[in-house]
Amino acid sequence: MAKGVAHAVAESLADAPDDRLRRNAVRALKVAVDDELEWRLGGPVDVIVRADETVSGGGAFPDRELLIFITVGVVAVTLVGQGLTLPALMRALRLTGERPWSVDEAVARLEAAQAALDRLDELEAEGRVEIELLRRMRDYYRAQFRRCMP
Amino acid sequence: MIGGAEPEGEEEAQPAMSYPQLRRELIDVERATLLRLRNEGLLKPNVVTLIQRDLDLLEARLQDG
Repeated sequence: MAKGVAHAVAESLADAPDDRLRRNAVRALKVAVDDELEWRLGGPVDVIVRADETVSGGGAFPDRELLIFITVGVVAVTLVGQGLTLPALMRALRLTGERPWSVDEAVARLEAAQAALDRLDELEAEGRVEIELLRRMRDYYRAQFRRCMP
Repeated sequence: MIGGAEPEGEEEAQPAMSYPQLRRELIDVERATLLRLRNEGLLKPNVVTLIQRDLDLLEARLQDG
């Protein structure tokens, strides 16, 4: 799980303005929760399914009911506990979604993005930037434009 | 162009920019645009501060990396 979370968080931090960072951090948290669910449910459910009624030789599986009760309890408590605390965690981290831009701010950001795109054109003409990097940065600045569209 | 043959007689091409170099360059362009808008009286200082903060964070992350 840790690997998946680290990967998701690293990706989210790779190239993000503040609002995009928050958006991606929320996405990373969702990935973390999905991973957690898989880990949390996958193992215990396996245990229950594999806890046969009898053991080899014909004897009753020792404390089978207790094992299932504890397993289900752990699943329920950890899922419900995390489910209830996740909103609080997100609030504490101020992962509240995007802050709307005022008209003035949107215009200024667009103007700045346009200047950056113009500079990218110049750098492309000078052959100083790899194609993939150009595409990535253009996508980034075009996203600023899209954010202002209804 | 990058990876292409160098035409004879042209100046030697500058090396391709790395991601951090390019990002800083573009952040500087954005900052310059903001300052121009502010100096022309088209942008309120508090709006400049908001956007500058985002640019500062972006730049700080480049330094951390």
